[in-house]
Amino acid sequence: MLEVRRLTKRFGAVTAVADFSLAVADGETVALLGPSGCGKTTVLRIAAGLERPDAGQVLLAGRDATDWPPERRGVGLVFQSYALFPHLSVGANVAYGLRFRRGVDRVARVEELLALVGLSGYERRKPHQLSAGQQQRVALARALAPEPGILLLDEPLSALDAALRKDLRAELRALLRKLGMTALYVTHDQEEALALADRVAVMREGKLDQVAPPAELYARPRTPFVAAFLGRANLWPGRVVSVDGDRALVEVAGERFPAARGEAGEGGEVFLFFRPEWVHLGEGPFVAEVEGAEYLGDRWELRARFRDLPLVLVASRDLRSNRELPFALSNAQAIPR
Amino acid sequence: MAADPGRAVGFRTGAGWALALLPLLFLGVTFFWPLGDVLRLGFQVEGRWSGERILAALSDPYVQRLILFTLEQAALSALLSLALGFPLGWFLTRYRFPGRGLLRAFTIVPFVLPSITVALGFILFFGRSGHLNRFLMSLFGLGEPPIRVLYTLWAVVLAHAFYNAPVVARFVNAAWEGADPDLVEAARTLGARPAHAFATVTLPLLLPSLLSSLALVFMLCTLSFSIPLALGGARYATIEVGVYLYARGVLMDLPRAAALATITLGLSLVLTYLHLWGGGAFSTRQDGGRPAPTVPLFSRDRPVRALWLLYLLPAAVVFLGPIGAVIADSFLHPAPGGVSPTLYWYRMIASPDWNPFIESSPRGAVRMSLLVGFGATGLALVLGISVSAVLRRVRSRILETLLMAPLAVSSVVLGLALLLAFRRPPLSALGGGWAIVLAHTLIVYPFVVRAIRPLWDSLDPTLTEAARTLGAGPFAAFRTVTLPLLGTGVLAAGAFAFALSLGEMTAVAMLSGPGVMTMPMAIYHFLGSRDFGAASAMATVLMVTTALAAWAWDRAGSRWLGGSRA
Amino acid sequence: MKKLVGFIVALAVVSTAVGAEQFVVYTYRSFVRYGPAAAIEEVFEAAHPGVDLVWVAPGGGAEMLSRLLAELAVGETDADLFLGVSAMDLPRALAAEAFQPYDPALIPNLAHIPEDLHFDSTGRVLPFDHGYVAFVASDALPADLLPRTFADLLRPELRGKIILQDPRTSTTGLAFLLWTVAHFGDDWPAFWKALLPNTLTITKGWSEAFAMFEAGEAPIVLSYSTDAAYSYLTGGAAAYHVLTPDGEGYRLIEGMGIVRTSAKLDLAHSFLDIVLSPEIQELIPMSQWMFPVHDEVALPPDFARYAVLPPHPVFIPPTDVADHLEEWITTWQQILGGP
Repeated sequence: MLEVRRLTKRFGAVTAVADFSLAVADGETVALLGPSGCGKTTVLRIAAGLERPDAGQVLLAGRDATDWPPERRGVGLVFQSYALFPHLSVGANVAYGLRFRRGVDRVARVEELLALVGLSGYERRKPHQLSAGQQQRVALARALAPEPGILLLDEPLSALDAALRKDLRAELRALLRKLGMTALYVTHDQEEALALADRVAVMREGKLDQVAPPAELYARPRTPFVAAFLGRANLWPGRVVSVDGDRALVEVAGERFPAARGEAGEGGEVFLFFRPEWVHLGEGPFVAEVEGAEYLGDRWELRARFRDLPLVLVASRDLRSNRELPFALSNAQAIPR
Repeated sequence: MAADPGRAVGFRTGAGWALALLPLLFLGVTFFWPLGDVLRLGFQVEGRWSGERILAALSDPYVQRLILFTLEQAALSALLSLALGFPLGWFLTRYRFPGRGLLRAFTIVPFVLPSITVALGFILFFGRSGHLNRFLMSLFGLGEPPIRVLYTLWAVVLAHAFYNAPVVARFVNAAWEGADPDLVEAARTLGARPAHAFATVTLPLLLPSLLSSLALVFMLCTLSFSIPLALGGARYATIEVGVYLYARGVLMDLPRAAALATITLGLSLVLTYLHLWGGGAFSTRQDGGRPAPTVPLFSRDRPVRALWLLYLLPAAVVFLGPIGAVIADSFLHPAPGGVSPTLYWYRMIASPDWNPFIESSPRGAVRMSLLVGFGATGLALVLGISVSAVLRRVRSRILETLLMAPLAVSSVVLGLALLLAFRRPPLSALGGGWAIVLAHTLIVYPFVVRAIRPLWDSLDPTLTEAARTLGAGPFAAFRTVTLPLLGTGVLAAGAFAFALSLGEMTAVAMLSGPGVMTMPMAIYHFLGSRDFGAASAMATVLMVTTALAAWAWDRAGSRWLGGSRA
Repeated sequence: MKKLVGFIVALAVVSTAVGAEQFVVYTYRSFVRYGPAAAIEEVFEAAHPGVDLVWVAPGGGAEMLSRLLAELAVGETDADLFLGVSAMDLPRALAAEAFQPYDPALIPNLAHIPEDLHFDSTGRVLPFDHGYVAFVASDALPADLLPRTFADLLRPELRGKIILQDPRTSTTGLAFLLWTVAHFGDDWPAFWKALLPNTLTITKGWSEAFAMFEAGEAPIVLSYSTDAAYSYLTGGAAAYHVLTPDGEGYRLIEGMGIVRTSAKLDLAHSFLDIVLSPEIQELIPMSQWMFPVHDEVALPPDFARYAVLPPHPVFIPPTDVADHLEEWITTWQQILGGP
């Protein structure tokens, strides 16, 4: 549905987007994930036609839309700030995009959309009379009203508080499924990306680091950055001493750990990567020293040391008293440095 | 990364460039080209371009004295305006009291008053037989009038301060209210006493605005023409008076007039640039965070309130005295037969039979003023919005200075330029009334731009972007989203433009022809024919109309800020 | 938007004006306000049906002439006739070739104009009234301080009590300057230097000066010798004293001429003749507060009683004025700004 090829965009001396390519298939939700300033919003704006790329192409449904003005593209854009027209009512806001199409029964469509987002009967209210969550829904309804080919969302939930964010996230996902809508969703919140998307694309400094379904991204990150960005990660510097098919043996601090080989080669400098939850605690060949712990409500996060290396662990109870904690690794991965 | 609002929408569309060219074309035909005529007169010697006329003018001791005096009185006026205006701005920002909104609105009134009204008011109030002197003489039993400020440099300076101190007050008020109060509070928690926090935190924040308003006031005073003539006399001539004398006086020397005009133009363009650099905005209020904390005025403690009386009393005398004198005179001036107080003068100016000027009448003057006002306002709004659009797209201070150049040109030069220009095609195709409408449009639209731009800049750019993604083309997005949101701001700017046009007199005097008579001209004629009562009555009508427009301006401005903040 | 459209329509109507032919006369403001303009228009339009007489008079005499000359310099003016050329303005008007010669044969009333009032030897400008610039004092001035000679004007008791007009923009102002030149010869700058401390202000025009005088700002103003008559005949009391220092007053003659670019010669000559006719000349004293030029017109009795004709009027021929004006004005400017 949407494909961007080799996009490059510079703002003065700063390169915001560098040689970026991504395709979003029909009906798919792709999350564009990355830290602030990595260029993800710029990619979105280029796709919408609000910025022109210095190089590269934008294809919509197979056609080269790089030079098309926004009003021609048929994309829906949900803004981070909602951008509801303050001088129009909710109903008029939702109906705005319908003005430029013929033969549409506006009243019916507005009703239909408001029902879809759970705001039936709100037609006459003004935006400033709504709560943030409600404004978000109106923005969504407005973007959907003209039946766009693809929905672009720019961190739509970032302005909401945590609980509301979770609820709306689930609703949004259900809505997109129901409509079979193609969506490109920009966010800096990895939890959101993992929960909402069919595939997640991780961006860093204008470039694409990795794009994969959430589970794959979480378990098999290709770069240390992706690994650390998606959740708590242990990354121990080491070297691959031997390789056997898709398995490898990684030497770290004098010990040898089995790991998935990934893209590492024999003798290569790698990080040994594993998530805290993949560590067996209480028994195992290695011993860690617990230094501190943080209580997070549903779990304890422990700070430990193995030899000189930092080790992050999760446990269901406070294990601070255990000065020496045996552990074993499973599901480790070698990531080239 | 925040997108540049000017570039995001409508990058290379033809409509965008046409929009940019239209105001430039209009300005070109009505302003730059006629001005070019004047400049040509100044620079061309026997067909060659040469600076020798300018140099000759600059080396003439009379001209040198003119320049020095102009700068001297402008500097003094700016300083006095600052001294009078800053406390007023402070007062408006810090204290809550009934009628605060009204007071704030009326600070714009002196600025738009025609100079003859001010001159008249000053003579009636500060003159040797004026109210103030008569009051003081009877109070203290004096034989000679104690206040002898008129017909000296100080009358000119004081009148300039009368005009401009409220401007400074507004700048200060706007800047102060736009400043983040958290900053001062942070300073206080770090141990600074209130006075110290003010000096080290607030004042630096206000500084750009202060300097910007100083530059503006200084420039307006260098261009001053009627006030020095009326209240100072021939000994207190400014450069603009020099231009006028060489253009219309008995020793008519148009090239020399043009040379002088060129000198002033250069000076004021520099000052305009400085003013814009300071970023001063002539709007009602800038968009700020929390409003600065206000203190109710009438509370029992804090003797510092009594100190305010030391300022407020003289300020009231300076600002309200002349205006009050004019209003009083309109009722108290004896009607023929000696009746006083009387409504005779109001009846006189309202009656259509009264026809002292052939082909016109006072009522006609009011009507013409209103017509010209509406016409100039309409044109100025369109022009102002177009110029604002252009300036948002092309961020160049040089371009901004050029587009705002009419601000830097005095009405004398403008009138002269238009007078010459209207004698030749294409402008000669239009009637005489159009010359005045154009002159007023040019004089007024920079203020429209100054008012609209900050409003426009503070509009959320994502709103037009949202409209674009929903299918609206650039102009449709402007029409359905930007314009309605600017709406009340546009009305407000329009009201101000209207008030300015009502009071403008110098250009009208240069350009009026058969059947064209505006209110300020009528006042002037009444004065000339010794109908003081009628002059005061007409001036009062003018002041009331102006005040209403100004009040509407302020109300609409605050309604805009209140309503659209989601 | 509707307002704008309505306004455009209104302006279009106004500016395309009447279908009738227009005869445009430039003159000074008070001629239209007070002078016999209305009567002239009536007679003229009655004599020429279908012609609309239009007065253009937004400013004073010198200003209006400057405006006419400016318009002629650029090449286009609406004016057919100019009324209000003073003898002092004549040189610059002639230098700019502002007027075309009139045909005496077409102006029968010309025969009644005394020879010494013809101040234009080139046959372009005709006099239509004359008067005298003198000083006027109000009752606020004690009788013993009334200046009767030029020396009296310099008395220290009169400090800040005299209102003058600027010779560069005012007819009366220029008249006084020329008067001092005629009276003192080459010593006139010294007189001015001594006079300046006694002046309250020097205004742009006579209107402002007289307004200030009437408001009580100062008791002496440079004005016309007919002011006492004015005050008596309009206010009912002779509140003003006309002062003719050393018995002198400066003679003012006002003239009118056909603008060079006008083609409406029949109308122009008719206009000139009407202004010189007894019917109109009779109106001059009470409307212009000047003396008529027609030798057979009698003055109204009260006017004759109060209007002052100085025993020794002073007048510098326009040609001499033309030769030296720039030098005099420049010197005067320097005195003004001096230490």
